[in-house]
Amino acid sequence: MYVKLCLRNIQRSAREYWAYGITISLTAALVYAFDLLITSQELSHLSADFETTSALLLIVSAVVAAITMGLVRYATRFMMERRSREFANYLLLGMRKKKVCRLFLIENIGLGFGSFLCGLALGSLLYQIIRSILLNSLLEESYSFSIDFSFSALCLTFLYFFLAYLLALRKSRRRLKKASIYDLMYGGVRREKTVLRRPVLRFLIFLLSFFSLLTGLSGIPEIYQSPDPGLTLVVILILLITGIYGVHIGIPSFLESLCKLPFIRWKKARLFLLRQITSRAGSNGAMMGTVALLLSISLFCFIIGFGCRFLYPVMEDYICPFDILLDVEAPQIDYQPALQAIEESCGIQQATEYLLYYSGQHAVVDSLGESYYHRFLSDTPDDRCISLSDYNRLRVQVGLAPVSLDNRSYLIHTQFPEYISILEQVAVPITIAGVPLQRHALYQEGLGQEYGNNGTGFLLVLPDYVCSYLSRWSSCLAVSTSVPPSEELARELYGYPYYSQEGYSVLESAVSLQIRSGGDSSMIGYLSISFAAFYLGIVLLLICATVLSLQQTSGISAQQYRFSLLNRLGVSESQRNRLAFRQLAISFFLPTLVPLFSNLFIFRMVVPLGYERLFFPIAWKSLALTYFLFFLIYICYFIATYLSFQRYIRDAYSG
Amino acid sequence: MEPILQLERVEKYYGGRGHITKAVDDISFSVDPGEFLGIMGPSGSGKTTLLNMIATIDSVSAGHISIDGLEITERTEDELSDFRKQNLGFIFQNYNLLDTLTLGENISLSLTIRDIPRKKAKQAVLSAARQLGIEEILDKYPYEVSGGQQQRCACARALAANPKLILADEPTGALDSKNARMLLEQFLFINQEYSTTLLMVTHDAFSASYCGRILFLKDGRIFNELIRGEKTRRQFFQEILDVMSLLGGNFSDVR
Repeated sequence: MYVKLCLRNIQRSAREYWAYGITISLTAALVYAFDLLITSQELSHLSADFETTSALLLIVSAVVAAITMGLVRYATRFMMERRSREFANYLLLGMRKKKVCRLFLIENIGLGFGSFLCGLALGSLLYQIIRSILLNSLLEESYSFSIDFSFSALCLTFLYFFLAYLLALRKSRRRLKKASIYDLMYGGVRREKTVLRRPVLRFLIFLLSFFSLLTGLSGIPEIYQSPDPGLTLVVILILLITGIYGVHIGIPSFLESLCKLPFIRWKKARLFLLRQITSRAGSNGAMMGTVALLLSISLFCFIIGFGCRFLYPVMEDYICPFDILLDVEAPQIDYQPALQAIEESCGIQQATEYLLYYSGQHAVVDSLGESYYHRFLSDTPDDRCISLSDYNRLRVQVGLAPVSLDNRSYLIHTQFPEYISILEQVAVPITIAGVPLQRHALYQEGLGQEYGNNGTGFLLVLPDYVCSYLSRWSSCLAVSTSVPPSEELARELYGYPYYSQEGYSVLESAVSLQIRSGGDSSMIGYLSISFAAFYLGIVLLLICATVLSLQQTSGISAQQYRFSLLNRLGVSESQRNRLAFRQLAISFFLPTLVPLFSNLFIFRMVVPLGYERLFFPIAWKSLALTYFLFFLIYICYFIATYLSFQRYIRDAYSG
Repeated sequence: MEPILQLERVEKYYGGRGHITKAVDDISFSVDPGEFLGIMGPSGSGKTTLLNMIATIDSVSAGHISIDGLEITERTEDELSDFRKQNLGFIFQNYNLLDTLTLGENISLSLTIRDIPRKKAKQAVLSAARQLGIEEILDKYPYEVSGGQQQRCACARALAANPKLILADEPTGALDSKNARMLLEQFLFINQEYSTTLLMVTHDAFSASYCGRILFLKDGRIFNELIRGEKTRRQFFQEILDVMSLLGGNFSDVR
């Protein structure tokens, strides 16, 4: 009989708390997929940095397990409250409390275990997707299915969930043990406890919190520029968190004040709708604040995830567009041996040998002032130059369109944001080799200038004939390879004896080498952060949506009563459905307003200061994808919750 | 004859410093075995509180309650649980049936909890169901049957384990007059046929007229007592109405 009772209760719980079950399944799927990734022998051999990835994912999994524990605790407390009369019934029939507790625990474990098993199956599929992304990104391999099972991954996942459930259910068990029959029978009829009773106080808190939130958001761009970024960040976080919580605790007062407005009060069923929301929002302000905070973190994780996926690889290309960039301070270098070594090691797709020149003047350096000397303290100031033809060859090599110049013009190429902001204000006319030149354009695409190559932070591009009058400063080689260069090649190239055409070797100190040898490491690094961010972001979003779904279906008998009353008052079914939809929509989407708004500011932090113009189009793309993913998952939960809610309400009319 | 239920100077307070409500104020009475006692009173008179204390759902603030000679006011939770299992049966206004079990399973659960062997339990279920006229619907779930049938199932559940005392809190409150009458007839039958002791809380004079004795509560105290004796039910009903009118017309549901 107990077994029958237990199984039937599990079935009912699975039906009523589908959102919770689905979330546990999806969370288990994510955890298992990433545990498979961590323990994968195949993928660990792909890169030496895989250990770092594994460590990061382990940390995230531990965080996810802790968050899951919170969800289990919330859901079981929820179920306990809804089933309190049922438990009272068991006790009245003579069941010992220990037995009732055990029954409840077994039901929860049964529900959780079922969800966990579904999650394992889903996680195996998810792992295939993650694996194919990794293999495609690193080895450009097309998808191939492989059955992967890892006992250690299974044990690890099971351990996380076991601990989460153990700690959560312990607390629930203790709560049930303490409850008296009287509390279980009559506890549900008590009024909702409000955090702050006085409306004036709530309204004041709402206003103060709103300003706190705005202050925090407006301070975000100042983090990079403040003298103590760490302290500024802490202060801003405090302002944001108190702002988010305070706003949500104060929302009931704000909505209640709307109830007094004539066009609300005396228009159709708007008063009913607002009271439906404020009656719940009063006690759930802190819960809504927590949901809003977690949604903010979730959105931020998505931004990081998409940012790492799209933005940072582009930044990598910007900073290091060539696989090998060699700069030797000598008039002419024989690069044939070096080119041979590169060809043997990693194959050459394209190679450009070019020269940089002394201009014999420093008008542009002077215009840059402190910004220049801050970076290039020891250099004798000179505006270094390159010929237009060499410049265009470099541009073509990195996939940029060539440019044109007339005989009396020059252009500047620089990647440093602070130089750009100065040079945009000042267009210095210069005279080089007796030729007066006017500035034609300013370019800032990635040309490997970030680490001091290709000029001293900037390069003047001159017509070829002007350069023919100038002294050579350095001889350069830019190579795009077939496969990423190895570290051994980098060491070999750095220690290479470079000989000039006159036959003398150049000092090692005159050699500047930029190698993009960490292709795999960087890619693994970005993908790791991206995966970890999506992992955490999705789990947080699922949990928030589940909590809101549970909130809406709690007190369903009270909801049924109210809507059946509307029915008796003559409100048509379509009107009741519309009301139910609006009620749910407001309750579901109200906690998203602050996170969605806040993330418009927070995402600004993803783009490094000074690179806004270059990377904002990609950042905006990341933001759009973030919101798309967010709403995709969120709206699915909303629709499912609405359909359940509608069914419950309809049952009330027919009942 | 030893009374099956004895209350001595029982009191119940709610609230804290500065604001105390006395829900039950110094009540003493006893109930003999086989008696059908009704407790009547207006809303807020303390009748449900009194019933909850007798049922061990709520604790007493002062005084003693004994059931079948056993003092219940100072027992541990497990002792009370065992005591309820062996001695008490409950019938509530809102039936309190488990929606995941059929009517038959709801009845048999009360027997399973008492560790009654399966065969015996099955017989007891059928017997109780037959008595209450719900034998045909034992395989149905609570939401599939009417309120009256649900209440009869709750009654059968209370009865099946053969408890010493059945406590009913407004059992006819959610029923129409026909089903209410049917249920009360059943109460009378089990009281007379099996000498089952029944204690019923009600604010309905018609329901109370089926009792053998009625205690009237007002403001937590016993206001009056009526004993049916040899009177007919109709005569007893009229007496009840007279007492209710003495209570100042606070009752609004005279039938």
